[in-house]
Amino acid sequence: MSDEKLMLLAEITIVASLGVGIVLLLLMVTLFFRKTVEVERRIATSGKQLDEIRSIWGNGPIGRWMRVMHVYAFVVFRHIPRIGPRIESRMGGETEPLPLPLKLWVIVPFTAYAILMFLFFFSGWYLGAIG
Amino acid sequence: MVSKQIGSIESTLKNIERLHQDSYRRHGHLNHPGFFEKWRALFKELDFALGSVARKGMSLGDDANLKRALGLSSKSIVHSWKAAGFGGIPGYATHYDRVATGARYARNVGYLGITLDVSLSAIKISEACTAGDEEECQVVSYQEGGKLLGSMGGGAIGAGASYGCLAFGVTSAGIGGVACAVIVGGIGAAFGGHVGGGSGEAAGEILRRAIHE
Repeated sequence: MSDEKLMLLAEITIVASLGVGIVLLLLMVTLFFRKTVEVERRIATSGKQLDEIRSIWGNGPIGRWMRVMHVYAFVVFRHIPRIGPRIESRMGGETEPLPLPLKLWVIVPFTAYAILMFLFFFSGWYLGAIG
Repeated sequence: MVSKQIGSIESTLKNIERLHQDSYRRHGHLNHPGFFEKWRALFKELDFALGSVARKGMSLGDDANLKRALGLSSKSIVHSWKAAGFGGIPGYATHYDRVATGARYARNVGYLGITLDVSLSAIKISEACTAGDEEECQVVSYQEGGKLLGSMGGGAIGAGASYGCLAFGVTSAGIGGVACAVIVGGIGAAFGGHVGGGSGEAAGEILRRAIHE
């Protein structure tokens, strides 16, 4: 692929990833947030990190975002070998098995957002916007 | 992240006070073996959550002074409760209130940052658009809009660095809970916001060229 085509691809990527990323970010703290709350209700056992995060950060936009990030961390990081169980026990506990669709509501949007932000940063670097 | 860490300190302080009250209510003194066991566990938790920076910030001194600095002398607590009646630990509320205020303060810093970002962008756009140059107004509007969105998106993902610090237990390596949250979370959000702002500005300019040129 020629340099010109790569530049064009990077330009499209930087605009699209920012646009879609911001929309996803807003959706995660508004419409999708009730799904996060549902997961949080099942995993934030009393006295654990997720329970504290819920009460401290509250329900404002930043608070919601922090809660989304931590619920995601619990659902995903607990599968990391060796340290995963320690993370799980410190953050909360799955008292009842989480249904897969519910887990996906937490995992998919945040993963997509993280990938989009990576593409956004990478395109910015490629285009020389990051100095 | 600072707010979260402060919240953890707040919750441990509350539990320490509750332990003193429960033990006194049940046994009439604070010399019960069960009390000491729980007390040690809570102090370990508090020590983990505090970190050196917070301890200095709260004027709590080093490890040896922590119990005294918090006003947790068993003898004086029991004496005070016997003399003035059972209630909260005398003087303890000062620390608790300080922590609670800190949590509220830290939470509002994020909103202040966003407000400042939006205000600065609005001022720049307003300056460019009142000068009379229509093209300049358009360029600045797109660039500042992109910068704002980029720093929001980048800052949000950058803040995630701090939960990694807590989740992976880096805090136990000696940096200290609050210090770790401040350093990793702060650097993460600032770096994400900075990089995102630069890329967002470029994205805004690309979008302007695609639409208007």
